[in-house]
Amino acid sequence: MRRQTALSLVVASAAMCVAATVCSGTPVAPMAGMHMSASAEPDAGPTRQAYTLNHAFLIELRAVPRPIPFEKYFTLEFVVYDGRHPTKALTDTHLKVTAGMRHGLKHGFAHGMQSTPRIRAKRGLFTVAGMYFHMAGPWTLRVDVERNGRKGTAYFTLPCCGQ
Amino acid sequence: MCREPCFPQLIALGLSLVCGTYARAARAVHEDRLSYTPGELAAIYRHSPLSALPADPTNRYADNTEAAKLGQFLFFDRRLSADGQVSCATCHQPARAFTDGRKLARGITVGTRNTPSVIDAAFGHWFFWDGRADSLWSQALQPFENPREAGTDRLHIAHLVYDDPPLRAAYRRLFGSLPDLDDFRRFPAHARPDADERLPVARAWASMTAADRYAINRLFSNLGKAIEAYERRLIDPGSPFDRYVAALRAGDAAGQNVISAAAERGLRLFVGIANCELCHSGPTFSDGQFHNIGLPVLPGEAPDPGRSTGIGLLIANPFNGTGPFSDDRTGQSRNRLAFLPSPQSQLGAFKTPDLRNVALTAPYMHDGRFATLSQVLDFYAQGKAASHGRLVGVREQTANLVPPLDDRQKSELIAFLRTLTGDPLPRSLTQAPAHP
Repeated sequence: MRRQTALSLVVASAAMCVAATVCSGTPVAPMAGMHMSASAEPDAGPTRQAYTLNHAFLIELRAVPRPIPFEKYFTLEFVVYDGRHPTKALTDTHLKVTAGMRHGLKHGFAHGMQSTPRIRAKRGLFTVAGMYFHMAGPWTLRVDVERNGRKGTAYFTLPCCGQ
Repeated sequence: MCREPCFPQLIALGLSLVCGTYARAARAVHEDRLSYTPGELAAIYRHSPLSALPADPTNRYADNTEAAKLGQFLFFDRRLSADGQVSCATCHQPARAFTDGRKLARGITVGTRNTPSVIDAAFGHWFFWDGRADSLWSQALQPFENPREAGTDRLHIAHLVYDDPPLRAAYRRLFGSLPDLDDFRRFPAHARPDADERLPVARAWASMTAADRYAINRLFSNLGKAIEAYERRLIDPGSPFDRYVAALRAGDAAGQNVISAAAERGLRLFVGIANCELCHSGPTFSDGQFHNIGLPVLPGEAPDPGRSTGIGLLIANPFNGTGPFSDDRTGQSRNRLAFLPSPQSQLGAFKTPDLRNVALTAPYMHDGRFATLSQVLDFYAQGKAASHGRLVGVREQTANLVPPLDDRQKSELIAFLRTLTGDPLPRSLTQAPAHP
């Protein structure tokens, strides 16, 4: 029940946050209490920042191709911040990235990607290579973070693919 | 004011009659035509025309005319089989859009999967229903040594090319000299690698030196590359659907009559609420990817793991895009193999088939279980209920996005699918050439 409420809050605030990102044209500076998630329109820009649902971490999508290429491999870059002090990038963090399409599902993906991305970390910058979108429409990126036993999950929306 | 009909009024009357007639004629064209939303139009335009043929950097002969001619000769050559009766064209019959009309392919004996068409195969990303090949040339090699298909071995084929003067000359013109195949101590009459190392052909292969095995593999891979060069010419010349889309783009109302009103409604369903194009996307009506649509295991049929097995076979294949016989080992091929999904995630998944010429390629699905397009649509329209019984892996929820379709909608979709039948390929491409 608590989880559902949290998800609702995230979804409700997502449109405003995505619009702010698109308007500024640059990554929005980290702000406490800001939520973003998977509710952008297909032709909207990608989510650029998202808190994990438990607010433990803030994740910034530092680099994403625009538009995202259709049926071609592409690379993303992430930076992870402490959710309470989102000013300094964390370096001793584990990241896991999965992506899929919801197609109306509230939880989980109707299908995933047909690739397994590989993640490289260097001085707080996570490079995720091998992303591949084979279907047009909004994709949801799930980013799982773990640091010193503390875990968090954030969601991003990436629209595919400028068609 | 004129008491009698005056000249300007007569002109006006004449114009009105002419315009009225024209308007009626125009209505005759437009009357039952759909008008599409911008979104529908954009979706329709993504399906036609066919895009430029993608390059295959793993095959430097892919667009070589002489290689295509040799490849075409090999495609129809029955000598490249264990019993001298099976060629590529046995299953990929030109008269059937390069399929065979059978539930399961039949070469030396009955196979385990339905024969896909070769037309437009060059647009594919992966090959075979399970994606166990990453290039068309690599794909072309495997049926030669499959015991259910041609059932032969690479040494037999190498000797055949070596001993046939026209074939040997054609090979040398393209690829250079052949190994000294007169020496049967180095090059046995029959040999191939095989998982069962006790087989005579496998033992013969193991007895060869690494250098000689490499030379034979090089020769074998070159033959595959020639066949790919031929298959890259088997491109759909255009269908009523393509002419319809061209007319749509041009605003040519009369030209849109090339497909029926029912087919038009089927097209709208296809790109709209029926959600077909989620997977059947792009000019070939396939995303080229793999999906588990929840086909239950048929009674008496062995469970088919699909791409789950194909991934392992692809990685182990020395003829894959990163192998020693690829002409581009570091480019896109490397990425494609590096980022393959986990086999477990692909359990029961099969490649989305191209829908061009689909009306000619019955029966359908990887195991040919559906004899008609109507049965295929019945399956999708039933939703989850169709996936009762034993499944391999997990039914992808994308399949649930096809809504229940009534009989009229199904017949309209079929009317649309029939507009994807391409014009015949030129005879010069559909028969064996006299010489390689």
